[in-house]
Amino acid sequence: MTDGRRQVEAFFAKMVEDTALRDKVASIKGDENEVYTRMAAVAGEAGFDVTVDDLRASRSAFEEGAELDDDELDKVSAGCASVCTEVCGMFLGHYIGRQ
Amino acid sequence: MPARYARLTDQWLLRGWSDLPFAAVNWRNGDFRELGRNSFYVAQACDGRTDLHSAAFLPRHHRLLDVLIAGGIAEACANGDPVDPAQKYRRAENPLIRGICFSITSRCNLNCRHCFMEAPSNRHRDLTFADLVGLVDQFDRANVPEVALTGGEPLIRRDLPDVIHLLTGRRIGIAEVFSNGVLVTERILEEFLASGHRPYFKVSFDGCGAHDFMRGSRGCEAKVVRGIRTLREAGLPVTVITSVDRVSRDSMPETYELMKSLDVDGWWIAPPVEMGNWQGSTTGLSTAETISLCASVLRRWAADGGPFDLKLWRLGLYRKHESGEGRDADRVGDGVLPAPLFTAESWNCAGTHSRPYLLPDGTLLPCSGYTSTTLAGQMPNLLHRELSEVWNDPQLRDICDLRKRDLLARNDECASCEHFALCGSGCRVFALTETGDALARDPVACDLFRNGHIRRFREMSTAR
Repeated sequence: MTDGRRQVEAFFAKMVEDTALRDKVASIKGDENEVYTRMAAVAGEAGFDVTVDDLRASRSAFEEGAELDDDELDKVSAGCASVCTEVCGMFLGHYIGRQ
Repeated sequence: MPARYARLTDQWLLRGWSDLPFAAVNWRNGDFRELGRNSFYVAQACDGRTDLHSAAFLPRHHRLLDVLIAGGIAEACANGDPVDPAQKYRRAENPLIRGICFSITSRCNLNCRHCFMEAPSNRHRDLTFADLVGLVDQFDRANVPEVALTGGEPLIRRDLPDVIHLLTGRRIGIAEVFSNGVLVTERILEEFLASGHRPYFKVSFDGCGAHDFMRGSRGCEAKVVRGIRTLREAGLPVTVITSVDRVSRDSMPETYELMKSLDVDGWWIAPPVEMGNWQGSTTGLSTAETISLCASVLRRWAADGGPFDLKLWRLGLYRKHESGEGRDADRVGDGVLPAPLFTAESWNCAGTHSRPYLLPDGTLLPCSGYTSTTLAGQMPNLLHRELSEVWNDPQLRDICDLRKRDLLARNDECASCEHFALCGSGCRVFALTETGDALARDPVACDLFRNGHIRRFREMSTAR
């Protein structure tokens, strides 16, 4: 992974915890060049060394490859269930969750 | 690319805890999804006003949005469509609490021979409505998504409708209600249903012709049966819990037939636990007697096509057979719930780890089984301290965060035992009450596994 790509990844990771930053980027409008230019400026203001070419290249790489790992999808798709087992000796009054 | 907006569907909330930062919780039905950073990023943007086709989102995020929508967690919407502020992400600085078994009163209208709370002595005092408001507020701050209501008898509270509304207002689900069934009325059930709750009712019934004696109240058997019918007519799921001893065991065949006629979803049978009113009882069943009784019930259930879920003490939880399905013993889950396999890294008890029990005097216990033990006196009290704080309490966490490796380190026999993956050294409460050492191997579990009883019951459950 190039340094530029790493900076882009880090910038997106920052937006996970900073909704104001995310909103700033989400509000950028214009043609592709205008959007990337302004986005690079916002990233710079937030402390990330990101160029327009980095953004363009990273988006292409993201679109080409499978950037999601299966674990991320599995966590969303599968629910979690409480399971009562033979070993529980305290079910009278013991809350074992939904059946 | 045209703008794209989405919002969480109305039962889903975004929540986090110190040990699980990102999750989506359905507070109505208890569905719980741990989210990765990317899926959380997308879910958080499902706020009705963020353009998900903007530069802030990549193709990976669009795929995740599709997954969230397909899973019913999010839905497409127009820009500016309203969103419930309660759905917005909130993180509690305490470890995860999946739910609380909430004893809202120690009062009861019955006088059961085996009551672990020793109701109606009211020895655990009772909560005022102001107390309840304070506690529910604590649940809210700690991101508790649901409660199970118990007592004493929870339906005895005249202000129960207010309790229901209080929980609803905080987006806290009512997953279950433990009740003696005598006070079930259409009116109180309507209060649950009108607030959008469909709790699983766990109703106590101790055997045809024996129930009144077990419950210390003449005439309550007919009332409980009526209560169960009322629940079923309201479309609410019911599991009947039967405490069995030498007085009531002969009534099990007739009681089995009653369970079928009442169309219960589940039937749980076990001897009373050695605590509270039951301590010193002379009519308790031995382990061998309990096994024999459970075996006869299981054989009948299996021959009958498994008409309801069946939990037999510590001998297994058997799933209802759907009509028309074969009972191929090789089919996963056929008649038997797939048991989790314990490893050294497993939590000692998933229930204790994230589903504590709250007594009506405010004492927070890892499990109801600790109610009459010496440990109870050492546990924190939520009438004096904040839940978010006490859930980080080292003494409580030592119990809740216990892992199987801690037990293996103390019990050489378990480390080399072929049954460990299913047994996991058993139940800590049983270890404490049977041996005085909460970290000892559970001698009852040992007996059931090593003497082949668990295996034999699993085989019986799939027998034609």
